[in-house]
Amino acid sequence: MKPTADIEGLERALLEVVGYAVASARTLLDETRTYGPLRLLESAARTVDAMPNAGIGPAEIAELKTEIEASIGALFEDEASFRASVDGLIDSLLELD
Amino acid sequence: MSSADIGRLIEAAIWAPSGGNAQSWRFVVVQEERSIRRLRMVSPGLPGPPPCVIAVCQNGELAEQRGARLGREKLTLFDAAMAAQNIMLAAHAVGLGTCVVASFHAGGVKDVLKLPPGVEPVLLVAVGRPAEVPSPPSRRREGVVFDETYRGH
Repeated sequence: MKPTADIEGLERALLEVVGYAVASARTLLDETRTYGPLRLLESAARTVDAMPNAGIGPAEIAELKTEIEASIGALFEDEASFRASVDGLIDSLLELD
Repeated sequence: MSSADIGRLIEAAIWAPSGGNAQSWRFVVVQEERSIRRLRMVSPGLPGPPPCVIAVCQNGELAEQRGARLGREKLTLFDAAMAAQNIMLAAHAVGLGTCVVASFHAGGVKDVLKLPPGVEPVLLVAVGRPAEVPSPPSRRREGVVFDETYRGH
């Protein structure tokens, strides 16, 4: 996918992700450890979300977003499901590169 | 989000119980896109972006004047929670969805909302039209509710 539009929007969205990650680094000190993986995956989801509007990212971006969301869902089921889901997500990411 | 709907939510909030009738709560209704974006930057728990966020805040000094140490340390939290619950129930009654959030950086929220010294954010309530209605987590009574005396651990 080639850059086509809305770089300003991309900058804004990425700045939001930076803010989210930094604020998470602070709030996580006082929160349950489960929220650590959650915040990281949410950061990933927000980054992926920002790509299509700027015309960047792989063609499989929608599938990637779906997989990330599935991993977030698995986090609240049980640890084994979550591990398996993230392992699959990592495989998918490697296939994109 | 209509102003009438928001008015209903706020009306419900200010009719929540308040310890010692302190009413030291303060509510900030946020709808501007930039403000919502900035709130989300400092509030990891905030979903969305929602069209509206109601920040439930407390004036700690006022709470202490009216309710002493109990007022500042505990009743501010209880009152804020009850007001937030009222907001959420009123929202549900008009077909809106909510998410109550405690995961935020208080200093960042204070900056975004321009809260004066002494006024602290306690909870953020995201309000919007629900895209879906998720199934609720299970609830149980066994081991949670007792008749007359507590049993077990």
